[in-house]
Amino acid sequence: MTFILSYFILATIFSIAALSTNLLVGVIGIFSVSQAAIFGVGAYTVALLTLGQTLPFALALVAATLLCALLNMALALPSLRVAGDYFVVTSFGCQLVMTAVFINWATLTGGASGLVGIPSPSLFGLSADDSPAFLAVAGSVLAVACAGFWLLMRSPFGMTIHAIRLDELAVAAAGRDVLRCKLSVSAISGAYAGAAGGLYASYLSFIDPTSFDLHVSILILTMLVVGGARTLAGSLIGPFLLLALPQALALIAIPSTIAGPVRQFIYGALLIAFMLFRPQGIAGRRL
Amino acid sequence: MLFLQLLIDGLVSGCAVGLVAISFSLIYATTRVFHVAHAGLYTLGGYIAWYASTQGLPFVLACVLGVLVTTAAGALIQRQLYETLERRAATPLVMLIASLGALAMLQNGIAILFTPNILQFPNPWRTQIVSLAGVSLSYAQILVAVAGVLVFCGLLCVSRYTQLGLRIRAVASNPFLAEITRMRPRAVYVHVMMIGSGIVALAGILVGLDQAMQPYTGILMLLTATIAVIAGGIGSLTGAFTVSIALSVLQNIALVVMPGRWSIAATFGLFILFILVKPEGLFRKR
Amino acid sequence: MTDYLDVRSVSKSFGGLRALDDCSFSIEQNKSTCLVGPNGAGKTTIFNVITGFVGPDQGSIHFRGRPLNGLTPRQIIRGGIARTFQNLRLFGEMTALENVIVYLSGDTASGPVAALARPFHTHAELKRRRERAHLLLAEVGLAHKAADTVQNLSFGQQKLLCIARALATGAELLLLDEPTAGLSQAALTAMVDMVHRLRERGHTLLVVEHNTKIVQKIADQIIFLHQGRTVTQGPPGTILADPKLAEIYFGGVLNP
Repeated sequence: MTFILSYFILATIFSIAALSTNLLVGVIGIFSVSQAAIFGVGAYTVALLTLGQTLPFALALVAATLLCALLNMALALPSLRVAGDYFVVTSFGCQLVMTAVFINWATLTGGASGLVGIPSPSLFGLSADDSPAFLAVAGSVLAVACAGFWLLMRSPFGMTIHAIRLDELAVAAAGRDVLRCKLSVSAISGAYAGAAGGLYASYLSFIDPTSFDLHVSILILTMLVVGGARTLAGSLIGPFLLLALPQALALIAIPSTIAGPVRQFIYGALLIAFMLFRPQGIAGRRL
Repeated sequence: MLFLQLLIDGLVSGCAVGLVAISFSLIYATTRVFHVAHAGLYTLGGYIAWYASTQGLPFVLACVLGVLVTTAAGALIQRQLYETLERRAATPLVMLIASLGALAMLQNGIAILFTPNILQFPNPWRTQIVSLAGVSLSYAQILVAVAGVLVFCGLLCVSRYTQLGLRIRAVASNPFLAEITRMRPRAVYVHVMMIGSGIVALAGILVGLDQAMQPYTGILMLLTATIAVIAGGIGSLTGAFTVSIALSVLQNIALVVMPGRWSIAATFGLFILFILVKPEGLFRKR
Repeated sequence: MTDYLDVRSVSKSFGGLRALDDCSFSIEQNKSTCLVGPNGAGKTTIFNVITGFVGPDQGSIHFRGRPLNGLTPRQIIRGGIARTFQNLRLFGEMTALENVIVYLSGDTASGPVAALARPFHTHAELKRRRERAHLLLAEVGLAHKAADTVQNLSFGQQKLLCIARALATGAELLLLDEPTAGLSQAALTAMVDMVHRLRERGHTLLVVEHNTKIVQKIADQIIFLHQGRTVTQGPPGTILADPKLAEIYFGGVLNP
């Protein structure tokens, strides 16, 4: 039972991260492999703010959300100003540099050993120590995230960003500020990833740099591709399916040393397969 | 003479980065696909050569095998993956995701078949040192430098003086026109991928020989190389090679004041600064 | 009469190619001016320069007396100039209505903050925009096609949709880039009617056009560009009868 709950909680957390990627990659069409890095910043922020009893969980989560929104926007700005594939390099650079920061800035992040003893969320003295309570917390955040996504898609802004993916120049010729739209989406995407990261840190109570490296970005991207882009359903189906994969694999006896590489190999194969045969994913729209 | 040693080391490793950079530049300028799987092919070349070496094949033959297998793999990716997607008018985003998938399959496939841990070439050239004027270089390093410069010059010659080079440059400058004048750009794409994959395989082998083999370091190398390609100006082979060397030298000299683990952060920081100030590149080609 | 749009000695080179070479012309308000000339004469480039997508190497553009140099495309569009594209650039996966909505001017509730923080206000605003877009589609005769995606529109309808989009920006001066190219006879007539209606409503038009019959029907004035400069400008009767121009354009005589 705890195992099923754990699966649901992680799937909920990764659904928020998948929504983050959905906005950036699915809706506005910007390639990103740095989602895990921002997810990590959210995680470390909440961890550091709650470990020292500095802030209660709710405020720490808000702080992480805001910080990640600003960070994502700041990182996107230089390369979005310039046309072309520069953003790809920036995205990889971001992810790899952030991983280096997580590992090497040991005084802040605990280095390769990470941070332990991160407290569970507590509100008015009630603590979400046990899984059902935490699922309620994570679920609430996911509900807010879904509502936000839904509202954005149904607004004039949503229409504009959908159009940017289709023809950026034509949107500029409409008198719209394309750069500002992209930065806004970067910010919101960052906020979602940061919130997901904060929940992750609080749930696992232990984080280390390996949870936020390029492999995790690829996992989140695969969730989006498999679930489907530009729909709410896609961002929910993807994480639930892909987090079930390790359990399916456990049925085959794979040595633990290569369990990780096997999963990642499958993610790569899924990415290629879906791009070739089903770019809309299971429940999404064509990428 | 620490400074001189660091400088020489930087020049040498710059040649390896340069090989990755010119091969990536060739592919990107011609096909317009941001071929991140290039990092996986870099790794593949090294491991094939390593495996052949451990099976008793002399180094040169192992090298050739590594290059050939990787060239074939590159051609396969171009024909079966990129071309299929391109025929369906896939967006650059779709191509990137597919390329990323190929990268993940290559890196992790290698980790599964061999090991995720570090491997060394069964070859003493890494440790055999030559000393000259207070600077020491291993045989492997000399090989990297010589191969780097030779291949760079070779590619430059092919680009400027051969029929194939002309066709490549024509397709690169105007794919639409190339299509309607029957230059068969798709065939050129395959040629370009083969050349690029062969070169990057050589880089992977030589760096593996000089340092060590690990399945996941390809992307770090590619990041530095693509920064050099962009800074050098997309389409300029000379720019890519020169900036690769400059970056490596800078990275090495910076070791005097900064620990090596921050190298990538500093390089990336330079890149951000660069695109803020002079995004079109130092050696404009187009 | 002060010139409405004044192009003064504009030059623009792309690498070695000199697209515009000391190009000058002016157009009057509420008139329909046709920009003619062989391919490569610089017509689309001058459109790009006027709308701010490309900066001139030399020269300046003045609109209603104010210089446009250095303004962003967004500022120029808000200042009252809109254009259509030769290759349409419609949003393929979106419906005709949605295509127009994206082009509607107005900043109320157009940002993410409004969408998230004031959902009811945003919803009302979206409703208003749908209505405005419907009216615009009706003006170009596409009201019945509002819910159709672009792929389901005929080529003629797609071209009319481009006009609706340009109108949506609220611009006074409309730059139309080959609005009749590739159209069937029936669609051509509809487009010519459209151009006349636009002028009646007070718009000023600058139209790139190759078809001399269409030029005769819609032009109050013709500007003839060749190799990036203005060869001549004047009323259609004079220009089209000039054998020298026919030589440049067709290597023969234009049939009036």
